[in-house]
Amino acid sequence: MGCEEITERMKSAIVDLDRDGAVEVAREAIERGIPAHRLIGEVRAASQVVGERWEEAEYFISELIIAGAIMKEITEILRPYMAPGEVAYKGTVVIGSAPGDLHDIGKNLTALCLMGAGFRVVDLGVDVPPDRFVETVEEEGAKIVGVSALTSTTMLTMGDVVRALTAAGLRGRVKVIFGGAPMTQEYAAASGADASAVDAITGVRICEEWAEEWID
Amino acid sequence: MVEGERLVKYTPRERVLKILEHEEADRVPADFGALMSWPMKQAYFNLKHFLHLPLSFDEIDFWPRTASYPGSYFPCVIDEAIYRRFHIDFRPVKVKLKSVPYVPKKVYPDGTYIDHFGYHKRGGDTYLEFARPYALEYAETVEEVEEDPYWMDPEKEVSAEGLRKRAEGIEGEGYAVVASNPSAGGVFEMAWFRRGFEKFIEDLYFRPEMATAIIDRVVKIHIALFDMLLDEVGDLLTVVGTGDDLAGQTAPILGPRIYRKYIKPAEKKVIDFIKSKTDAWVFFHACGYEVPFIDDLIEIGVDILHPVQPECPGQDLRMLKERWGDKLTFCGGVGSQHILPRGSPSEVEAEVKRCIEAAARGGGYIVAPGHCVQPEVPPWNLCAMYDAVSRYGKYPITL
Repeated sequence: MGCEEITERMKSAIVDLDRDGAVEVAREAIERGIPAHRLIGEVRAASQVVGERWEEAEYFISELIIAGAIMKEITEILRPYMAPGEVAYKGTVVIGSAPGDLHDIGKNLTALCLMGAGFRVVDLGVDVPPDRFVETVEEEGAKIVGVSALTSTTMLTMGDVVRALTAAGLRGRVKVIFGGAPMTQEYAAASGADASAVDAITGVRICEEWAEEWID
Repeated sequence: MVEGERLVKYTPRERVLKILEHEEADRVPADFGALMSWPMKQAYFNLKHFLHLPLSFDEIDFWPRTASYPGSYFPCVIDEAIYRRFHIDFRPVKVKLKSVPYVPKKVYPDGTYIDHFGYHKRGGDTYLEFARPYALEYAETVEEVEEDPYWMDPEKEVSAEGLRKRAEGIEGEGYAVVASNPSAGGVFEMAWFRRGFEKFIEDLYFRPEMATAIIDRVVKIHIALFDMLLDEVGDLLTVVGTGDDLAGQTAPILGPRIYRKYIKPAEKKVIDFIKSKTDAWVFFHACGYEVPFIDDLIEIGVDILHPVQPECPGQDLRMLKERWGDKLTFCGGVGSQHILPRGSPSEVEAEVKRCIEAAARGGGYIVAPGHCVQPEVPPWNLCAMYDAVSRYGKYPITL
């Protein structure tokens, strides 16, 4: 079986949510000496297809979680075989739930999808104070800040994060995206965000567009 | 409404029954926190203040932050004066927890606790929130799931005492008696509330024996709760509340294939049991983009679908009514994410008009907020909403 065929098989196993199949092919590929970075590329390609299935309403939240879990597992298997410095991330995203918001399902799903798409994700958890976002952006050299809120009440604290970034002089260095069910573009724009998304895949697509700009 | 020479005056229950039979009555019925669409406490007390209504003892929240009951964010009762001011046709009866004052099953040093349903929670500023890890998140075997000490035991922990007397009183006054969902959630919800969201979804795909063990136990608890409730008041109920949150704002949570394999048969067992004990109509709460599940819900016996959130895709009342209006009654529809909290009273009035115009003709529609009434909803918007129901909801609809 050729190299192409194995990577293609791994990709379809991920896309078809066949965890055992995907893990088996990934191990086989490593044994045959296919470079890990090439397989990682294939994981990203799979994530792209999963995103397309979501957009076509063929896959739903449960499928995104399962695909994310499989991609995470495959990445863990491949990680020891990567040469140092070989992990070329598209960029670092600092993500967290808005100050006062204790919900994390949407935020976790977004983090999982971002990882699958090739971003390095620093997840700050729930109820994240604006200063934590600022500190982490500085420490991690992040290029994107993602703030998530579930309710229309906690959504109102999202602007505080933008204000804190501006006060720290970091606003020009990072793109800010707001996410969550109650989000509207008007609210996001009025609060100083660069973009907004009501679901994980839309959010990831926007981050990918930004990443293309700075990679070029 | 004039029928022959006689002016027909309906009691609220008669009105609701007509609408559920998909016929027109004298006006469109309305709900506020009886079936569901509860107000959050802040909105509720603002409303009471605005209407100059005094606080009553049973509304005052003096339980500690770890009090294991939803009363910390929803009012325990809704003032009868508000029901009357808003011309609400429904009155609820609810099973009660025996453990007053709602002592949690376990309290952890970080202030989180295991509540009466066995959920690991913490008090948030607005709602009670889930705390990590979920109670069964680390369970690895079916035995661990089955032997977990924190599963609810309805016989020991819940009581339906006094419900019959209350239900008879409500019925005597002519209102539609409705039983709130005693499990406060559905099969899928209770399963993931105990096991964890990602973990339970992984169970459904990768560990079917774990998923089945959890679902079986959850169904058993649901049936025991409905058994208790319906033994007491089954013959007096007009509507019985159930539900399951199957979707997010813009997409289903569960892929319909996996839903049909595991969750739908379990929900059917619960609804079959309910229908074996009462003739009441089955109300089902499924918020968000629930459209892909509507045919399934009809198939398992759902009569009333709530809350028809207009902010979600596919929730156009006119379209829903056209497609499923002969089989379902819709309850809700008034935008609770943008219009109720942030709109003006005239925008709220226009929203109610829009709903009535789209869905009320020929019955099969109950006006209600399209989800819980959020803390910042101003009282004048609630008044505008129910005043608009009285103004525009009279049959025949002339909008």
